[in-house]
Formats: sequence, C-alpha cells, structure tokens
Amino acid sequence: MEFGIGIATSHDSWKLAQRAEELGFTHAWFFDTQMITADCFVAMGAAALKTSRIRLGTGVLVPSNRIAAVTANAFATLNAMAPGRIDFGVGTGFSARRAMGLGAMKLADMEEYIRVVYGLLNDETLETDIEGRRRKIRFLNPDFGLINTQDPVRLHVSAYGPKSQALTAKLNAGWKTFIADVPGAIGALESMQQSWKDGGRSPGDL
Amino acid sequence: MLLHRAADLDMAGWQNTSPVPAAVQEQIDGYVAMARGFTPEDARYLNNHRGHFIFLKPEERRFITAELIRRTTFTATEQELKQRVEALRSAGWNQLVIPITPGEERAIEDWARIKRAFD
Repeated sequence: MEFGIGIATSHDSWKLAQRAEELGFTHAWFFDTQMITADCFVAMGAAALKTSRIRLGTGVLVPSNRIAAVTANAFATLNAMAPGRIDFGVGTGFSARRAMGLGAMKLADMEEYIRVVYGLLNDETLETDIEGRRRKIRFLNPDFGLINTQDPVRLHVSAYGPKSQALTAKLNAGWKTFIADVPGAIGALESMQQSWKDGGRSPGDL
Repeated sequence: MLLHRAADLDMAGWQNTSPVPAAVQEQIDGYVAMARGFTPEDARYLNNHRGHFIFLKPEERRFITAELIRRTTFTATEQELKQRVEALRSAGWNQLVIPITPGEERAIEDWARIKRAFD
C-alpha cells in the first residue's frame, strides 16, 4: 500500500512535500482550486526543487482553469525540474468550479483536453479548437532543454460515476476517488473494477 | 464537504455524489437552511465554499457534531485506522491519500505511524 498526501496548496507547500518525502510518503497531490488555495503549478515548482524522490501531482487539475497547451507546458516544465516524478491528476471539477458558481464540466470536453495535453507531451503536431477555429499546434522547441517531454507523465482520472470510470478505463489511466469509510471504498472499487473489465483492461493494471 | 455539497444541491440543483447518512440529516438540513441566508443572494456559493477543505467557518461549527465526523469522515483511533487500511489493502486498493489541512500539518506525523505498519 502506497501512502500519499493531499495538499491544500499554499506558497510554502514545498515544506509539507519535503516532510512527506522524509517520512516515506510516495506522492504529494496539490489541489487546483484557484478561488480557495494557492496556485498548484507554482507550488509544485518549489516542491520539485526541494525534493528528490516523492512524486508530485495535481490532485486534481480542472481543465477549464487553463487552456490545454498551457497545462501541457506546465507539466513539461515541472518534468524538467523533477524528471519522471510528475503526475497529471484531472477531474471535471468540484471545488474549483463551484466556488465560481459553476457545475462540473462535460466529460467529453475533459477527454478532448487530455488528448491535447498528451499530444503535446508526446511531441505531436495536433489539431484542436482555439478561439473558435481548428488550428494545428505543437511544442516548437521541445529538444532545446527548456522543458522535458521525454520522461512519462502519468495520467490519473478522478471518477465517481460509471461514465467517468469508463473513461478512466478507456484512457488506461490511474483512478482517483474520495472515500470516507471502508464499505463505501470497497463498493467504489468494485464498481471501478467492473468498468475496467468492461473497457477490456487487465485487472492487474488497475 | 458534505455540507457544502448539500447546499450546492439546494442552491443550483448540482448533483450530490455523496449519499447523506440518515443519522446526520438533521445537521445537513440545518446547514442548508442557514446557507439559504448567505449573501449576496445571487452568489450564495461564495460564502458556501469559503474555507472549503481549509478551515471551518465559525457559523459551521454547530453542525459538525461527533456523529457527523464519525459517519462521514475517516477519523478514528490509530488501531482502528490500521484495521481500515488493512481492509482497503486486502480489497485491492494500492494508494491512500491523506488530505492535510493548513494549520494541521502535524497530522502527517500521525499518519506516518500508520504508514509504517504497512512498509
């Protein structure tokens, strides 16, 4: 069993990430709640410099907070600061959106966002809608040492219902959810395992 | 989170993905009734989510009963927590993430003791 911490992002979250690393925690997940906490990528940058083993992830990033190209760039920059230690946790949004009077974003929009982020991280030239028009985009200088698109950035999807769990399986992603008790946690896992199986994934890969 | 979700549901009809245990319905109803008085009236979500996951607003404290904590959070004794984590591990969970609230950073030391039992 791995143990991670969830960080209500602060200007000095690196201190908590550093202590978690000293204590043997494997992951530090930073909230992306722009109206409530500090900025996750700024805080993760500081943590990247102050740690050497613990994995650093968004827990979870909400796509509507920034365009996909900016997010891909932020992950690639972090990946240069902490090579191979970066996780992309993503969800349709609770706190980040409700604090602005918005409900969750559409699952299909999140899937498209993930496609663009990973296309850029894979150094692809891809098409996406920008300001109402279909445009081709790519990172122009990925081999110049400014960012790191070589080490993998793992994807983790926050999924509660069957549709988001099916998307998690479709994308072969890690699965994140909230739990408050053991029976509820076991029920959630069984539901996800079924979605994983329905998606044609091997049980051992979940 | 349960209280804020319940108020969201009341304000805007957003889906509540966390079922509410009947034993704490009175606290939930009380919070929702209070949240109907949040201002500004056309943006009650501002007050609803202030402090969310960060701190308890003074006006929220009366709804956070021992029963609500027991039934809707992972809070327990060290021995009970170890048993719960073992149950999760046996069921196939492979990572447990502990949210650390600002001002309560010492909790990471407590959770490190739980973690060591599974190293």
